[in-house]
Amino acid sequence: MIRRRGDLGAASFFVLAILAALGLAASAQAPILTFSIDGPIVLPIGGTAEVVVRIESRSVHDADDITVTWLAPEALAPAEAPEPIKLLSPFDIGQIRFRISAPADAEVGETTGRLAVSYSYCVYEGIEERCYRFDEDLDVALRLEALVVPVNGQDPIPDPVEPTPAGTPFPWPWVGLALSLLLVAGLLVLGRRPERADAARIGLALIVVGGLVFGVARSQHEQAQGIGAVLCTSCVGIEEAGPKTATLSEGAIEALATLDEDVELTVFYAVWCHSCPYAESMVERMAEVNDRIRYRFVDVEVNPELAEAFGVIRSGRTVVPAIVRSGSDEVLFGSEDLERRLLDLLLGTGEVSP
Amino acid sequence: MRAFLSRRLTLARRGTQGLGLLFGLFGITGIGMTHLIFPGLHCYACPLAVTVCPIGLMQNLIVFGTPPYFWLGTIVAYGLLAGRGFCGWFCPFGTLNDLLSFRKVRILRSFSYTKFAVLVATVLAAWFFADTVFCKLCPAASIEASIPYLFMGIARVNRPFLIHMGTLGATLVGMVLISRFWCRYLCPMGGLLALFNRISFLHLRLDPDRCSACGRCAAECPMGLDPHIEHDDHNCIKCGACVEGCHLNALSLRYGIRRRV
Repeated sequence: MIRRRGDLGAASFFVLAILAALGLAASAQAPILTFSIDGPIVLPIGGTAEVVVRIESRSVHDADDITVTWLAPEALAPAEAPEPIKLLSPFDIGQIRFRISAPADAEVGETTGRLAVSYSYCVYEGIEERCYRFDEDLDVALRLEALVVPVNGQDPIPDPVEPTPAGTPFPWPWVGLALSLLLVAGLLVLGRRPERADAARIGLALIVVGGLVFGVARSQHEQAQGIGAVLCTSCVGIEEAGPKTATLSEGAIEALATLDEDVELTVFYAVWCHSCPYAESMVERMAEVNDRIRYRFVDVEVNPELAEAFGVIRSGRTVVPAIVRSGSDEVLFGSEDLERRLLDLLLGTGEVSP
Repeated sequence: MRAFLSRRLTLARRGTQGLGLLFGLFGITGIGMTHLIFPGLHCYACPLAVTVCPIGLMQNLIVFGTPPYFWLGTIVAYGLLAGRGFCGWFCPFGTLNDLLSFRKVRILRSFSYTKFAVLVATVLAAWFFADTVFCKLCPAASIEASIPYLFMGIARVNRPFLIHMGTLGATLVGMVLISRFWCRYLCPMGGLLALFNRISFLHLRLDPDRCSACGRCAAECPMGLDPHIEHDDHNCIKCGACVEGCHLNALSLRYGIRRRV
């Protein structure tokens, strides 16, 4: 009896552990954002109305590249694509606002608008970082009304009053810098007269002490080290910075369709690197074409040890952008001719040229 | 003692220039990037650099919108310590200029102010394009970054590489034709340090009682100056060539506070 109970305990523990693992795995891939639109939106025919998509994060993870696309009805589509949100912090609330317009021949009545929202987020598993992408559809109630011609010529539906941003702090650091520069210039002019040169030297020595102390207190020496330690390929003219977004050629899309194994790509970037967005965008496009490609983005300044582990550091310099395929020693540096080089890396179609 | 020192100036200077090169390439020990700013034009992208280029850092800080206190303190310190003495005694790219100084000519002297224009243009371009525009043209980066990275398989022969080779080639030709061509006319770091030249502790001193105005010092000056008249000039790199050239010992290099003569 005791023995059976023991077996039952072990078995139930085992089952619970599997369930917990499955739950964890599932929760890691669960959507982390909720989208809502306050409706119905009153849209005057021949006029425009603002749509505000409210985005709420209920996760400890950062959400990346939140985009909103208008799907239907096409006649009401916004003239300009809604501005995406690059990053939404954990438990933060964001908004994407855009204006839709009704053509003059639209019919009065109620209808439903349909939007697509998409975003991605990455979770750390040990030193591994996995990224997930989510797409959802969202409905919004619309009420098309006849445009009331205003008497005073103003838009009958006033634009919502933009909340005034909280007061920006007074730029004391810049005022301090301007004063210091003025002081240096004044002292240099003063020092041209030999009898006053000593006074000018003392003043300049004080600026040296003040600048170094204040700079170090603001960790500017570490910023300088960081700038020197990370080499962005477009910054010193190793290559030209490409466009921010990448497009795939027809041939690349066809070639990618032949990829039939799971591949994980890690893109190392720095926030200030001009050619990194193109490399990120290229990997995203490829992952859209073939969902066997998973990817993650790693900021080398936040995760230098990961950059070191993946061999992105060359003679003390972290070189970005760099793309590494998990399980391969090869590192693709830079963004030039990236489509072909990435295809080589993914499909092994030939020698990856440097 | 003074005569002994004056004849040994070039030897001493080769020593400090060697130290400058050693400091610039200290990454060979594997210590990686430090918090220091180099007192000269030395590319931080150089695979062996352990210090940050002052001009590269300045552009990056402009792009980031960081008030550059640390940078300012360091530059003023370098200015006070030696002014353009760093060009003559320490800067590795200055050393390259020095080694190619075959023709100590006195031409295009008014163009020496061009380097201030280069400095201002560097600042404005970084501000306007939010990019390190000067670095893409800098001949020091051509030697210290473009060429090494080509051999490391990271750089490719492309348009930016060819632009780098073009600026490097033009500068090298200039250096051969006009001694210290880059330092004289174009170096933005030289422009920065030149502001402090009259006030820095390292300075050239003239004893007018000994000077016969023979002009031998002018023939020796790699910057095309007339040291017995212009010993405080913004272009003086305090290399001491004129001190060695003066047979009357009227000129001397001094370190410390200047005394009025």
